[in-house]
Amino acid sequence: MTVQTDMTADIGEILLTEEEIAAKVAELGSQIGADYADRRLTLVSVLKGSLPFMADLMRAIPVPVRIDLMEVSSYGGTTTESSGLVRILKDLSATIEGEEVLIVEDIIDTGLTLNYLVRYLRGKNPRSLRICTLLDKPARRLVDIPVDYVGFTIPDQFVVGYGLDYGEYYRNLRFVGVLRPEVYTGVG
Amino acid sequence: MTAARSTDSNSRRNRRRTAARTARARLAHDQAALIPRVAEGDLGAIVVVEPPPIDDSFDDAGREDRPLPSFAHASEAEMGRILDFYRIRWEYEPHTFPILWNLDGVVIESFSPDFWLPDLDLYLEMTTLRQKLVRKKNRKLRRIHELYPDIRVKLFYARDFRALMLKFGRMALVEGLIGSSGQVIPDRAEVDVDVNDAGLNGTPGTAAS
Repeated sequence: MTVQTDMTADIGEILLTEEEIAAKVAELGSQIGADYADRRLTLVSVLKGSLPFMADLMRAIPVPVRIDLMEVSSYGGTTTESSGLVRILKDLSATIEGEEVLIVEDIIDTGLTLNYLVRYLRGKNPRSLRICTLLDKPARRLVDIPVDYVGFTIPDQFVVGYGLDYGEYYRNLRFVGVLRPEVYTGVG
Repeated sequence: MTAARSTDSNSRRNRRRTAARTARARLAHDQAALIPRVAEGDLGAIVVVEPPPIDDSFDDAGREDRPLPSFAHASEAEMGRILDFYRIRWEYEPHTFPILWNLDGVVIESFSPDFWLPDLDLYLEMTTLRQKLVRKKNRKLRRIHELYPDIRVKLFYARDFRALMLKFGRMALVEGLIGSSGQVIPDRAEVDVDVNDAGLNGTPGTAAS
Protein backbone atom coordinates (compact mmCIF):
# COMPACT_ATOMS: atom_id res chain seq x y z
CA MET A 1 0.00 0.00 0.00
CA THR A 2 1.05 3.58 -0.56
CA VAL A 3 0.56 6.22 2.09
CA GLN A 4 0.83 9.80 0.95
CA THR A 5 3.35 11.99 2.71
CA ASP A 6 0.47 14.23 3.64
CA MET A 7 -1.67 11.59 5.36
CA THR A 8 -4.64 13.92 5.51
CA ALA A 9 -4.91 13.63 1.74
CA ASP A 10 -6.08 10.04 2.25
CA ILE A 11 -8.86 11.15 4.59
CA GLY A 12 -12.25 11.70 3.03
CA GLU A 13 -13.87 13.25 6.06
CA ILE A 14 -12.88 14.18 9.58
CA LEU A 15 -15.33 12.40 11.81
CA LEU A 16 -14.04 13.56 15.18
CA THR A 17 -11.77 16.52 15.68
CA GLU A 18 -8.93 16.64 18.15
CA GLU A 19 -10.96 19.00 20.33
CA GLU A 20 -14.03 16.77 20.30
CA ILE A 21 -11.94 13.77 21.29
CA ALA A 22 -10.24 15.67 24.11
CA ALA A 23 -13.57 16.85 25.51
CA LYS A 24 -14.99 13.34 25.41
CA VAL A 25 -11.91 11.82 27.05
CA ALA A 26 -12.16 14.39 29.86
CA GLU A 27 -15.83 13.55 30.31
CA LEU A 28 -15.14 9.81 30.41
CA GLY A 29 -12.28 10.33 32.84
CA SER A 30 -14.49 12.25 35.25
CA GLN A 31 -17.23 9.66 35.04
CA ILE A 32 -14.81 6.78 35.64
CA GLY A 33 -13.19 8.68 38.49
CA ALA A 34 -16.55 9.13 40.17
CA ASP A 35 -17.55 5.50 39.66
CA TYR A 36 -14.28 4.17 41.04
CA ALA A 37 -13.76 6.61 43.89
CA ASP A 38 -12.11 4.81 46.83
CA ARG A 39 -11.48 1.73 44.72
CA ARG A 40 -8.29 0.26 43.29
CA LEU A 41 -8.65 0.49 39.54
CA THR A 42 -6.52 -1.23 36.92
CA LEU A 43 -6.76 -0.03 33.34
CA VAL A 44 -5.96 -2.68 30.76
CA SER A 45 -5.22 -1.30 27.33
CA VAL A 46 -5.27 -3.40 24.20
CA LEU A 47 -2.37 -2.67 21.90
CA LYS A 48 -1.80 -1.03 19.58
CA GLY A 49 -4.84 0.98 18.63
CA SER A 50 -5.85 2.11 22.09
CA LEU A 51 -2.48 3.60 23.03
CA PRO A 52 -3.36 7.28 22.45
CA PHE A 53 -6.75 6.85 24.11
CA MET A 54 -5.21 5.08 27.08
CA ALA A 55 -2.52 7.74 27.46
CA ASP A 56 -5.09 10.53 27.48
CA LEU A 57 -7.75 8.71 29.50
CA MET A 58 -5.48 7.67 32.37
CA ARG A 59 -4.48 11.30 32.84
CA ALA A 60 -8.13 12.35 32.84
CA ILE A 61 -9.06 9.96 35.66
CA PRO A 62 -8.68 11.78 38.97
CA VAL A 63 -8.19 8.69 41.15
CA PRO A 64 -5.14 6.42 41.50
CA VAL A 65 -4.94 3.82 38.74
CA ARG A 66 -2.60 1.03 37.74
CA ILE A 67 -2.11 0.37 34.07
CA ASP A 68 -1.29 -2.74 32.12
CA LEU A 69 -1.03 -3.59 28.44
CA MET A 70 -2.11 -6.55 26.38
CA GLU A 71 -1.80 -7.47 22.73
CA VAL A 72 -4.02 -9.94 20.96
CA SER A 73 -3.43 -11.41 17.53
CA SER A 74 -5.89 -10.62 14.77
CA TYR A 75 -7.33 -12.87 12.11
CA GLY A 76 -5.35 -12.47 8.94
CA GLY A 77 -2.39 -11.03 10.73
CA THR A 78 0.99 -12.34 9.70
CA THR A 79 1.69 -13.47 13.25
CA THR A 80 -1.26 -15.81 13.26
CA GLU A 81 -0.69 -17.87 10.16
CA SER A 82 1.03 -20.69 11.97
CA SER A 83 -1.58 -21.13 14.66
CA GLY A 84 -4.95 -20.34 13.16
CA LEU A 85 -6.23 -19.38 16.59
CA VAL A 86 -6.35 -16.08 18.39
CA ARG A 87 -3.40 -15.69 20.74
CA ILE A 88 -2.31 -13.41 23.53
CA LEU A 89 0.81 -11.81 22.08
CA LYS A 90 1.48 -9.79 25.21
CA ASP A 91 -0.05 -10.79 28.50
CA LEU A 92 -0.64 -8.77 31.65
CA SER A 93 2.42 -7.88 33.64
CA ALA A 94 0.71 -8.21 37.02
CA THR A 95 -2.11 -10.22 38.51
CA ILE A 96 -5.61 -8.79 38.39
CA GLU A 97 -7.13 -11.25 40.83
CA GLY A 98 -9.48 -9.39 43.13
CA GLU A 99 -8.91 -6.13 41.27
CA GLU A 100 -11.36 -3.74 39.67
CA VAL A 101 -10.43 -3.90 36.01
CA LEU A 102 -11.43 -1.62 33.17
CA ILE A 103 -10.59 -2.68 29.63
CA VAL A 104 -9.70 0.33 27.51
CA GLU A 105 -10.43 -0.11 23.83
CA ASP A 106 -10.07 2.19 20.86
CA ILE A 107 -12.97 0.78 18.88
CA ILE A 108 -15.48 -2.03 19.17
CA ASP A 109 -16.93 -3.27 15.91
CA THR A 110 -17.50 -7.02 15.55
CA GLY A 111 -16.80 -7.67 19.22
CA LEU A 112 -14.85 -10.81 18.30
CA THR A 113 -11.58 -9.77 19.93
CA LEU A 114 -13.31 -8.24 22.92
CA ASN A 115 -15.34 -11.39 23.46
CA TYR A 116 -12.14 -13.41 23.56
CA LEU A 117 -10.44 -10.90 25.83
CA VAL A 118 -13.31 -10.76 28.30
CA ARG A 119 -13.42 -14.53 28.48
CA TYR A 120 -9.67 -14.63 29.01
CA LEU A 121 -9.61 -11.94 31.70
CA ARG A 122 -12.60 -13.38 33.54
CA GLY A 123 -10.49 -16.50 34.02
CA LYS A 124 -8.07 -14.38 36.05
CA ASN A 125 -10.75 -13.68 38.64
CA PRO A 126 -10.88 -9.90 38.81
CA ARG A 127 -13.31 -8.42 41.32
CA SER A 128 -15.05 -6.61 38.49
CA LEU A 129 -14.49 -6.32 34.77
CA ARG A 130 -15.88 -3.45 32.78
CA ILE A 131 -15.29 -2.04 29.34
CA CYS A 132 -14.54 1.45 28.08
CA THR A 133 -14.25 2.24 24.41
CA LEU A 134 -13.65 5.49 22.63
CA LEU A 135 -15.56 4.40 19.53
CA ASP A 136 -18.46 2.03 19.12
CA LYS A 137 -19.55 0.81 15.71
CA PRO A 138 -22.69 -1.20 16.51
CA ALA A 139 -23.60 -1.78 12.86
CA ARG A 140 -20.72 -4.25 12.63
CA ARG A 141 -21.45 -6.13 15.83
CA LEU A 142 -21.36 -9.90 15.69
CA VAL A 143 -20.92 -10.58 19.38
CA ASP A 144 -23.04 -8.47 21.70
CA ILE A 145 -21.12 -7.43 24.78
CA PRO A 146 -22.40 -4.72 27.11
CA VAL A 147 -20.04 -1.76 27.06
CA ASP A 148 -19.98 0.37 30.18
CA TYR A 149 -18.36 3.54 28.86
CA VAL A 150 -18.70 4.64 25.24
CA GLY A 151 -17.12 7.79 23.87
CA PHE A 152 -18.74 8.02 20.47
CA THR A 153 -21.09 5.81 18.51
CA ILE A 154 -19.94 6.08 14.93
CA PRO A 155 -21.45 5.15 11.57
CA ASP A 156 -20.42 2.14 9.56
CA GLN A 157 -17.35 3.63 7.92
CA PHE A 158 -13.70 2.64 7.93
CA VAL A 159 -11.98 5.09 10.23
CA VAL A 160 -8.34 5.76 11.04
CA GLY A 161 -6.42 8.10 13.29
CA TYR A 162 -5.97 8.58 17.05
CA GLY A 163 -4.51 5.08 17.25
CA LEU A 164 -6.62 3.43 14.56
CA ASP A 165 -4.69 2.19 11.58
CA TYR A 166 -4.88 0.91 8.09
CA GLY A 167 -1.87 -1.20 7.21
CA GLU A 168 -0.24 0.08 10.43
CA TYR A 169 -0.33 3.70 9.20
CA TYR A 170 -2.45 6.69 10.17
CA ARG A 171 -2.30 5.90 13.89
CA ASN A 172 -0.55 9.20 14.59
CA LEU A 173 -3.30 11.40 13.19
CA ARG A 174 -4.68 13.61 15.94
CA PHE A 175 -8.25 13.20 14.74
CA VAL A 176 -10.47 10.30 13.67
CA GLY A 177 -11.24 10.37 9.98
CA VAL A 178 -12.86 8.27 7.31
CA LEU A 179 -10.30 6.70 4.99
CA ARG A 180 -10.93 7.30 1.31
CA PRO A 181 -12.11 4.01 -0.24
CA GLU A 182 -9.61 4.34 -3.08
CA VAL A 183 -6.84 3.87 -0.52
CA TYR A 184 -7.90 0.30 0.20
CA THR A 185 -9.57 -0.59 -3.08
CA GLY A 186 -6.72 0.72 -5.21
CA VAL A 187 -9.28 2.29 -7.52
CA GLY A 188 -9.42 5.99 -8.24
CA MET B 1 -66.91 -19.29 2.96
CA THR B 2 -68.70 -22.49 4.01
CA ALA B 3 -68.54 -23.87 7.53
CA ALA B 4 -66.52 -26.90 6.31
CA ARG B 5 -63.95 -24.69 4.56
CA SER B 6 -63.71 -22.52 7.62
CA THR B 7 -63.06 -25.59 9.78
CA ASP B 8 -60.37 -26.81 7.38
CA SER B 9 -58.75 -23.40 7.42
CA ASN B 10 -58.80 -23.29 11.21
CA SER B 11 -57.37 -26.77 11.37
CA ARG B 12 -54.50 -25.88 9.03
CA ARG B 13 -53.82 -22.71 10.99
CA ASN B 14 -53.77 -24.70 14.21
CA ARG B 15 -51.37 -27.24 12.70
CA ARG B 16 -49.02 -24.45 11.63
CA ARG B 17 -49.16 -22.89 15.07
CA THR B 18 -48.53 -26.24 16.72
CA ALA B 19 -45.56 -26.90 14.42
CA ALA B 20 -44.11 -23.48 15.19
CA ARG B 21 -44.65 -23.97 18.92
CA THR B 22 -43.02 -27.39 18.78
CA ALA B 23 -40.00 -26.06 16.91
CA ARG B 24 -39.63 -23.18 19.35
CA ALA B 25 -39.98 -25.45 22.36
CA ARG B 26 -37.39 -27.87 20.99
CA LEU B 27 -34.94 -25.06 20.35
CA ALA B 28 -35.58 -23.46 23.71
CA HIS B 29 -34.88 -26.80 25.37
CA ASP B 30 -31.68 -27.30 23.38
CA GLN B 31 -30.44 -23.81 24.06
CA ALA B 32 -31.52 -23.30 27.65
CA ALA B 33 -28.23 -24.44 29.09
CA LEU B 34 -26.19 -22.50 26.57
CA ILE B 35 -27.48 -18.95 26.91
CA PRO B 36 -24.79 -16.74 28.49
CA ARG B 37 -25.50 -15.88 32.10
CA VAL B 38 -26.21 -12.27 32.95
CA ALA B 39 -25.61 -11.05 36.46
CA GLU B 40 -25.62 -7.80 38.37
CA GLY B 41 -22.19 -6.29 38.50
CA ASP B 42 -20.49 -5.18 41.65
CA LEU B 43 -20.60 -1.58 40.60
CA GLY B 44 -23.91 0.18 40.49
CA ALA B 45 -26.63 -1.16 38.28
CA ILE B 46 -24.50 -1.91 35.26
CA VAL B 47 -25.11 -5.41 34.03
CA VAL B 48 -22.03 -7.54 33.64
CA VAL B 49 -22.17 -10.38 31.18
CA GLU B 50 -20.25 -13.49 32.05
CA PRO B 51 -19.32 -15.06 28.74
CA PRO B 52 -18.43 -18.72 28.79
CA PRO B 53 -14.83 -19.40 29.75
CA ILE B 54 -12.36 -20.19 27.04
CA ASP B 55 -12.67 -23.81 26.14
CA ASP B 56 -9.24 -25.35 26.60
CA SER B 57 -10.16 -28.27 24.39
CA PHE B 58 -10.61 -25.86 21.52
CA ASP B 59 -6.98 -26.06 20.54
CA ASP B 60 -5.21 -26.44 17.26
CA ALA B 61 -5.33 -30.20 17.28
CA GLY B 62 -9.01 -30.34 18.08
CA ARG B 63 -9.81 -27.89 15.36
CA GLU B 64 -7.85 -29.74 12.72
CA ASP B 65 -9.40 -33.02 13.74
CA ARG B 66 -12.91 -31.75 13.40
CA PRO B 67 -14.33 -32.49 9.95
CA LEU B 68 -15.47 -29.33 8.21
CA PRO B 69 -18.95 -29.31 6.71
CA SER B 70 -19.58 -28.98 3.01
CA PHE B 71 -20.07 -25.26 2.77
CA ALA B 72 -22.32 -23.96 0.04
CA HIS B 73 -20.25 -20.84 -0.48
CA ALA B 74 -16.68 -19.67 0.02
CA SER B 75 -17.79 -16.78 2.23
CA GLU B 76 -19.32 -19.32 4.62
CA ALA B 77 -16.06 -21.25 4.75
CA GLU B 78 -14.21 -18.03 5.52
CA MET B 79 -16.68 -17.17 8.26
CA GLY B 80 -16.16 -20.62 9.75
CA ARG B 81 -12.42 -19.97 9.84
CA ILE B 82 -12.94 -16.56 11.46
CA LEU B 83 -15.18 -18.03 14.16
CA ASP B 84 -12.67 -20.80 14.73
CA PHE B 85 -9.90 -18.24 15.05
CA TYR B 86 -11.77 -16.38 17.76
CA ARG B 87 -12.70 -19.64 19.50
CA ILE B 88 -16.39 -19.18 19.02
CA ARG B 89 -18.21 -22.48 18.80
CA TRP B 90 -20.42 -22.87 15.75
CA GLU B 91 -22.50 -25.41 13.92
CA TYR B 92 -23.33 -25.32 10.25
CA GLU B 93 -27.04 -25.34 9.42
CA PRO B 94 -28.00 -27.42 12.47
CA HIS B 95 -31.61 -26.26 12.63
CA THR B 96 -34.34 -25.91 10.05
CA PHE B 97 -37.33 -23.68 10.63
CA PRO B 98 -40.54 -24.30 8.68
CA ILE B 99 -41.84 -20.99 7.36
CA LEU B 100 -44.55 -21.92 4.85
CA TRP B 101 -47.11 -24.69 4.74
CA ASN B 102 -49.53 -25.78 2.01
CA LEU B 103 -53.24 -26.10 2.56
CA ASP B 104 -52.73 -29.61 3.93
CA GLY B 105 -50.33 -28.36 6.55
CA VAL B 106 -47.29 -29.83 4.82
CA VAL B 107 -44.13 -27.74 5.04
CA ILE B 108 -43.32 -26.36 1.61
CA GLU B 109 -40.68 -23.82 2.56
CA SER B 110 -38.16 -23.71 5.36
CA PHE B 111 -35.15 -21.74 6.42
CA SER B 112 -31.84 -23.11 7.69
CA PRO B 113 -29.56 -20.29 8.87
CA ASP B 114 -25.96 -20.96 7.91
CA PHE B 115 -24.40 -20.82 11.35
CA TRP B 116 -25.59 -21.33 14.86
CA LEU B 117 -23.37 -19.94 17.61
CA PRO B 118 -24.62 -21.80 20.70
CA ASP B 119 -22.64 -19.79 23.25
CA LEU B 120 -24.08 -16.57 21.89
CA ASP B 121 -27.56 -17.91 21.15
CA LEU B 122 -27.27 -16.41 17.70
CA TYR B 123 -27.79 -17.51 14.12
CA LEU B 124 -25.75 -16.07 11.25
CA GLU B 125 -27.00 -16.05 7.70
CA MET B 126 -24.55 -15.14 4.97
CA THR B 127 -26.16 -13.30 2.08
CA THR B 128 -23.21 -12.54 -0.12
CA LEU B 129 -24.79 -13.71 -3.35
CA ARG B 130 -26.63 -11.73 -6.02
CA GLN B 131 -29.42 -9.30 -5.18
CA LYS B 132 -32.27 -11.58 -6.24
CA LEU B 133 -31.22 -14.17 -3.68
CA VAL B 134 -30.71 -11.49 -1.06
CA ARG B 135 -34.33 -10.38 -1.52
CA LYS B 136 -35.45 -13.99 -1.14
CA LYS B 137 -33.46 -14.35 2.06
CA ASN B 138 -34.80 -11.08 3.41
CA ARG B 139 -38.33 -12.37 2.83
CA LYS B 140 -37.49 -15.62 4.62
CA LEU B 141 -36.01 -13.69 7.50
CA ARG B 142 -39.16 -11.62 7.88
CA ARG B 143 -41.15 -14.86 8.12
CA ILE B 144 -38.72 -16.18 10.72
CA HIS B 145 -39.22 -13.05 12.82
CA GLU B 146 -43.00 -13.43 12.53
CA LEU B 147 -43.10 -17.12 13.38
CA TYR B 148 -40.18 -17.41 15.77
CA PRO B 149 -39.81 -14.02 17.47
CA ASP B 150 -37.40 -15.39 20.06
CA ILE B 151 -34.84 -16.53 17.51
CA ARG B 152 -31.96 -14.11 16.88
CA VAL B 153 -30.69 -14.18 13.31
CA LYS B 154 -28.07 -11.79 12.02
CA LEU B 155 -27.94 -11.28 8.28
CA PHE B 156 -24.48 -10.84 6.92
CA TYR B 157 -24.61 -9.02 3.58
CA ALA B 158 -21.87 -8.70 0.99
CA ARG B 159 -21.08 -5.21 2.32
CA ASP B 160 -20.67 -6.64 5.82
CA PHE B 161 -18.34 -9.29 4.48
CA ARG B 162 -16.30 -6.67 2.62
CA ALA B 163 -15.99 -4.64 5.81
CA LEU B 164 -14.86 -7.70 7.71
CA MET B 165 -12.23 -8.51 5.10
CA LEU B 166 -11.07 -4.90 5.12
CA LYS B 167 -10.72 -5.04 8.88
CA PHE B 168 -8.63 -8.18 8.59
CA GLY B 169 -6.53 -6.82 5.73
CA ARG B 170 -7.97 -9.33 3.28
CA MET B 171 -9.59 -7.02 0.76
CA ALA B 172 -7.63 -8.67 -2.02
CA LEU B 173 -9.61 -11.86 -1.44
CA VAL B 174 -13.06 -10.35 -1.29
CA GLU B 175 -14.09 -10.69 -4.92
CA GLY B 176 -13.17 -14.36 -4.86
CA LEU B 177 -15.21 -14.99 -1.76
CA ILE B 178 -18.49 -13.26 -2.54
CA GLY B 179 -20.97 -13.41 -5.40
CA SER B 180 -21.00 -16.16 -8.00
CA SER B 181 -17.26 -16.70 -7.91
CA GLY B 182 -17.58 -17.51 -4.22
CA GLN B 183 -19.55 -20.62 -5.05
CA VAL B 184 -16.29 -22.34 -5.91
CA ILE B 185 -14.75 -22.91 -2.52
CA PRO B 186 -10.98 -22.42 -2.56
CA ASP B 187 -8.64 -24.60 -0.59
CA ARG B 188 -7.39 -23.25 2.71
CA ALA B 189 -3.96 -22.84 1.17
CA GLU B 190 -5.38 -20.56 -1.51
CA VAL B 191 -7.08 -18.38 1.05
CA ASP B 192 -3.93 -18.11 3.11
CA VAL B 193 -2.09 -16.24 0.40
CA ASP B 194 0.35 -13.70 1.67
CA VAL B 195 -1.67 -10.53 1.89
CA ASN B 196 1.52 -8.56 1.72
CA ASP B 197 1.99 -9.81 -1.83
CA ALA B 198 -1.42 -8.45 -2.62
CA GLY B 199 -0.31 -5.04 -1.47
CA LEU B 200 -2.73 -5.00 1.42
CA ASN B 201 -0.93 -5.39 4.66
CA GLY B 202 -4.07 -4.87 6.71
CA THR B 203 -3.64 -4.68 10.42
CA PRO B 204 -1.46 -7.67 11.20
CA GLY B 205 -0.89 -8.61 14.75
CA THR B 206 -3.30 -6.20 16.37
CA ALA B 207 -6.98 -6.22 16.66
CA ALA B 208 -9.93 -3.94 16.77
CA SER B 209 -12.65 -5.61 18.69
